[in-house]
Amino acid sequence: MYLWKSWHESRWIFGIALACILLAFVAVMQAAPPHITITHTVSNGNGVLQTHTEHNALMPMLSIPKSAGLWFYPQLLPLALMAWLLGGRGIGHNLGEGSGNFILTRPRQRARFILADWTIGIGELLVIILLINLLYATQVYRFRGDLGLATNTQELLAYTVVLCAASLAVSGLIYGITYCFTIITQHGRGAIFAGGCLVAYPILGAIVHDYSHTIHLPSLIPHLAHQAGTPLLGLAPWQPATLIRAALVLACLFLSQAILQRSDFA
Amino acid sequence: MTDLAVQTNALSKHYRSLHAVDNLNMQVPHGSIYGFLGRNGAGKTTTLRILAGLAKPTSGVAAVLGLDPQKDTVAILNRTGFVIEKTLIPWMTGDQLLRFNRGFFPNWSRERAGRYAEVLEVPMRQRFHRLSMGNKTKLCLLLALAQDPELLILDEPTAGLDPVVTDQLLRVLVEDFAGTGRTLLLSSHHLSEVERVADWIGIIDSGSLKLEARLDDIRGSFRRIRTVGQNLPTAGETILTCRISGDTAEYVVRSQAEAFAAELTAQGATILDIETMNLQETFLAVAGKESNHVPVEVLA
Repeated sequence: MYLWKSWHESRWIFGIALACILLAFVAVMQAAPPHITITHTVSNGNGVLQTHTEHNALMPMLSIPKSAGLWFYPQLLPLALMAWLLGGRGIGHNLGEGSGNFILTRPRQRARFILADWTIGIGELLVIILLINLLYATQVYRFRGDLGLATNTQELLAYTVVLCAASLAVSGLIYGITYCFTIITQHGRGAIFAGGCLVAYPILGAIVHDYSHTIHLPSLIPHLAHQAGTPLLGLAPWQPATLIRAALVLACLFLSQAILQRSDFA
Repeated sequence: MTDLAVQTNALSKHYRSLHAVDNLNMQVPHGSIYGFLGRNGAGKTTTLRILAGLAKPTSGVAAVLGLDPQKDTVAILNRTGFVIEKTLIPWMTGDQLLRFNRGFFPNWSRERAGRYAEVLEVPMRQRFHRLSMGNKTKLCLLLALAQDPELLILDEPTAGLDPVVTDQLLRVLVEDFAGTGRTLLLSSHHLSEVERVADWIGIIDSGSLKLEARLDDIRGSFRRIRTVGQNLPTAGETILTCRISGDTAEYVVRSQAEAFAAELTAQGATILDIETMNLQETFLAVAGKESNHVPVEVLA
């Protein structure tokens, strides 16, 4: 029943995200690939010869890795917002509104309440991430001719999986940090503190880097675009970055459970 | 431990310099209706939170149904109903809260829950945050009763309720707990209400238990003795409280008032009067500033 409660409290966020993606699907599926006319001017002995050719506006995206890199970053902003909103809706929020004592006097381990919140929260994020990147795969497959891409569905599928994994790691980390803050503060406003920290962290990183060029604070976002063209199989460079973030997500889960278990609600 | 539903031994909870609970020794017998009385800030809610496993004691031990609230929290919560803060999940209706709650309790009975909803007249289709204070409290109690607990712990169940709702609640509690072998522990500062239902009384003040006795013993054997004399005793086996001002003294004794009066007379004192005491007078003598004669309900 707690799962149902978690779902009920977060479904409006999921619903809005789902509606946005469906709208994007409809809009994109109805659109033709944009074309531009390029004029080629050639000089020869008889004067200037001009030819006009039609090209796809997506011409720069000549490779699947490059297109994946370009697709990755724009999706992070809405996903981060969704993860932040979901992270603020767990049992920490209930503690803040006063119903936490009622929930915590139900006969269940506190860790299980958190696990239920995470199952719903991460599950909703995963569905949205899968749909966003399904949209990517569909579009690339649909315009593969226009893009000048060889029909390599295996590579496309692999990059779609990479996109999903990397997006889930980043948004999961934002969800985990936000959730953890609501548990620490025993209030939904912990999400605001978490948001402040998440915004301040890259600014701090830039300041530190500006102060000393040798210091690089680790980024929340893996540099997927830099991996363009690198092999996907085996130990590709994106894997450790994503795995580290996945480990941090799990650390947030266990930390939240440990804090809630030891918390004093006096 | 087995004859006691709740037991605490030197239980303390300190917040820096504030001693919310201080060396509390409390024994709630199985099958009793125990009124846990105290002024605001006396430490009642903190004690109940420790029993529910929500707060950790600074020192001392507590046992609920023979189990440790810190280690066996889930086992205790399976068998005990707690109504500590009367805030449930705001967006849920009464019916949704029943569905939510029944998933946690294997002994849950829909029939019993429906009966309580009918008796207590709770509007089950309204969202919790739209309910009146009285209906919120009744819904909290309904959820706790419908889980069929061996022990029910209520914190200020009648606070903020009108007399009709208070009467409804107390009737339900008495019907469900008196003589059933199940235990009810309710904290309150409304003495008249506690006096209607309780058979055991514990009075807490400044975090420690000042008095624990059967209500019948308080009514039957507690006496106030006013006397005039010199070198009057200030402590004794039966003396509960003693206030001496000049040559006059006022004692509250647990028992054997006649024998104590005879003892005072033998020491040359003059007995002015010996009075029986009700719960309110006992409470004021133990926890209140009795000389001010301020009713406890007003103090609260």
